[in-house]
Amino acid sequence: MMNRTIQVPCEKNNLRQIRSFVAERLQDFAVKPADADMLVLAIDEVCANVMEHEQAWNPNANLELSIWVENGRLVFEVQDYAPDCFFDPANYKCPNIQQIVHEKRNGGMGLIIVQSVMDAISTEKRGCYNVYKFYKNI
Amino acid sequence: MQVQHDKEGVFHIISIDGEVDASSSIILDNALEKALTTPTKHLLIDCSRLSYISSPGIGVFTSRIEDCEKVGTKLVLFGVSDKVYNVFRLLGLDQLIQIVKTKEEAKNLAA
Repeated sequence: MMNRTIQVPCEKNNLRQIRSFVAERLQDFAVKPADADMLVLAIDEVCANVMEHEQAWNPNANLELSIWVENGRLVFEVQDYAPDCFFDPANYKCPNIQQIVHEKRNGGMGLIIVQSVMDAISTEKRGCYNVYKFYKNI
Repeated sequence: MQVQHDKEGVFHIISIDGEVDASSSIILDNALEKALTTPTKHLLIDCSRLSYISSPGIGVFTSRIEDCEKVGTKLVLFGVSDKVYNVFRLLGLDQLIQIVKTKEEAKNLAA
């Protein structure tokens, strides 16, 4: 049985490893390829956001991702040690795509993807750790 | 991820090979920057070997759509896989960026 958790330093080059981990786990759960592609993308976006905005791509900081099935839902749990910051992706108001284009922005779309792909999001402060859970009905 | 620049007549073609994510989007960004600093009215992006794109890669295009329109550069993507197209569609960018199947279609649209 494959490990359900992966822990990686907060470096850009580790995003590929995260995507591989998610894709393999979703194969274990027999998720349809097209759905799996979007879930891999969404978790890539989440992890990149945490690594950049909470850890500033600090290779000495770690991000932990766990995936399991609970009550008919896939659960993706992302946590990092971040005593001084907390972000709430569930209640973040995403910008309009036309606004992004008009303002010539190259960011702000990751959470549009996450909110579109996932069925539910929860956030929790567990001591000094931020714990984000993303749920997908299967 | 790698990019390659080619000229075919009046068309400047950038071919993307591999995955564009937060670690590699800078390569694509530099490629578009290079293409747009040399006057080109017909910029085609060959995505036939683009296997994955996340929002930093998409951002390379969103940040330049208005500039392309302003200087009259026609930007067209072609050879996009269903997997990659779904990302553009999810964001609503399939309505704001020209995306076609083949190079010939792209040339006809950009000409």
